[in-house]
Amino acid sequence: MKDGQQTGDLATADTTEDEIVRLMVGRELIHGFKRQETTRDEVVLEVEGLSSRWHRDISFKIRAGEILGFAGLVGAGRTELAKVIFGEYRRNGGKVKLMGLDSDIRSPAEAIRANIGFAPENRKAEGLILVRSVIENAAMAIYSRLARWGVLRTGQMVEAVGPVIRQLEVKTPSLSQEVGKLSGGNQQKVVLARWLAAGPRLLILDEPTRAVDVGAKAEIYRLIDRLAKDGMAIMLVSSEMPELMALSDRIVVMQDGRLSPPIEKQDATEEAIVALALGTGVAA
Amino acid sequence: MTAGDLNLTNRSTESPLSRLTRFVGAENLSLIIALILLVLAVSSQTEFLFSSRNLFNIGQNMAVVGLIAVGMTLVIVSNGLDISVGSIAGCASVVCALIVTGSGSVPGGLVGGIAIGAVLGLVNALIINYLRVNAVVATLATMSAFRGIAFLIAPEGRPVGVLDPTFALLGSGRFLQTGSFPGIPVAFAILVGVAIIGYFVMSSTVFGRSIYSMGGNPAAARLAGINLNRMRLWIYAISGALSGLAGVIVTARTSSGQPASGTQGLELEAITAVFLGGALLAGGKGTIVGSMLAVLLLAVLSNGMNLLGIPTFYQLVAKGLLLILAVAIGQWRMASAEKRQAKLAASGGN
Repeated sequence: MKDGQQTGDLATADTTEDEIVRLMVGRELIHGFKRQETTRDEVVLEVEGLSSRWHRDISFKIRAGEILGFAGLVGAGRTELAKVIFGEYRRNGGKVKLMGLDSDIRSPAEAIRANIGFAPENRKAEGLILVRSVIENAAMAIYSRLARWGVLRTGQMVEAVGPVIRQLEVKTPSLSQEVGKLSGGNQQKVVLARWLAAGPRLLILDEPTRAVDVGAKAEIYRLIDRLAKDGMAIMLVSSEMPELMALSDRIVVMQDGRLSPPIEKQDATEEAIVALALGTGVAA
Repeated sequence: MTAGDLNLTNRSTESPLSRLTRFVGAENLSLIIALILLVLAVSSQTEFLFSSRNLFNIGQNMAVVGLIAVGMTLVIVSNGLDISVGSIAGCASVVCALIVTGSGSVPGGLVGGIAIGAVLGLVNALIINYLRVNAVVATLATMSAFRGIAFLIAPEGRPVGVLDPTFALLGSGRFLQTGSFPGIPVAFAILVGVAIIGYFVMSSTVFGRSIYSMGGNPAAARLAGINLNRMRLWIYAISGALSGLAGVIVTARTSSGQPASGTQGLELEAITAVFLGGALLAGGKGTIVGSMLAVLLLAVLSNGMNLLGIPTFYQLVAKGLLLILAVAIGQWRMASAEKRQAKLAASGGN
């Protein structure tokens, strides 16, 4: 069923996953999702020898327009690394450079001011204020930018995030709808809308399609692709191998707080990544 | 509905009744209905309720609780609680009486009372932020400590008499008095002014919006760039300053700086008003308008109980039950909303 119409009737035995997906989404996508290389020269984020409670000697670079995929087992320290870079957790050593300049970010507020965005893995616990409206959730990170002398009118918020909500095709009866009343995929789109409205140079996405239905997933992929095309640097943490392989320009693998050297897209195979994630692989 | 017709509200499908509900707010509408029923019930038993003298009294009584309830709205929406407000008012009452008798300066006493309130509020926030004591426990502790301080700074722990007629105007002054119209109490006018500012702050400033965000989900608010510790410093300082102002008004009304009398039990009334006004225990919800309607409701209720000669002990029981009822209604509302949500999800809807 799609939009109240029956689109296909298949015998369970001769149905493939792709076929169901195609019928549900109405567009052939997901597995066949191909990105064009959009990496530019400019390095947005450069991490050198970073260490923290969870990490040792982490180094990597993300350029403008590049999607760097972070693979690894759950618990390897990827979410923690995202939060260290976003200033939520402390960094013990090493250097973080943003746009070529040394930066010392100590809180999410400072990270946002430095043009970093972060969509956390657990949207209900960390991403959204479920009892507040779509518009507030989408505008939260840019309140101070929208306001004049601390005064913020609803009209300004509508102007700033209305177009983004529309562009992402968030299915909501109105902008004042409580976010908790939307479906999972639409909730995730509201989180993304917040960062789309903020327009950061670096966007950290932690499991962006977790608990999202197939249709919304495809739209989120297209969005991530477009953001990269527009020159955003994207740090993509994902545990879904097909997603990681389809979206990333390069993939790094984290294992027990350490990071592998980047694997180029064309060399990335599921086997190689899993081997690195388990710590059994040969160093690339 | 995804294309160009996305509005702030979904007006096209609204009935006039739901439009009215949206404008006033569902919770506020039920408060107004409760208030009308209460007024009808009381006035059927005694005609004194609508006497101008009594209305004047209600206005005056509202001012003290109302000022504290404005600050308490900020605190509770931010998912905190401030039980120490009555004790802060007591401290402010004594401090302001000492300043007015000592220096003869009425503005000095006013500013001093508000300032000591703000400082004590900051102390609350510092304890919550940096000693990581939960707000209920922290302000329960300071409720005792601040009350002790109020007695300590009052010479020999006794009330400090203030015989300044200008100062007394803050408590019992009135304006627009003509013939049978008793005028508007100065204290009530102060409350109206503060409530209007409070309404503006909560609905149209970054600070107010951030209070709603942090109350609804502190972790998410922090990750969206809100500095929770700094917010708490401001919120509790404002709650303290308004409690201080309430203490100043108590001093002016009773012509004495009272360490305890007149400010005890204010926390219960203010907290009840805020929850009755539509705030949720979980934070993130609540409005100044709702809180003020509830303050009015409580003032009429307690005035009505007095007019009907209901003994104080019964009134205490009634006030306690009312707080439980107010919070329980909020919890029930939230649970039924969640149930609706779960049903919607189970039926495969969006």
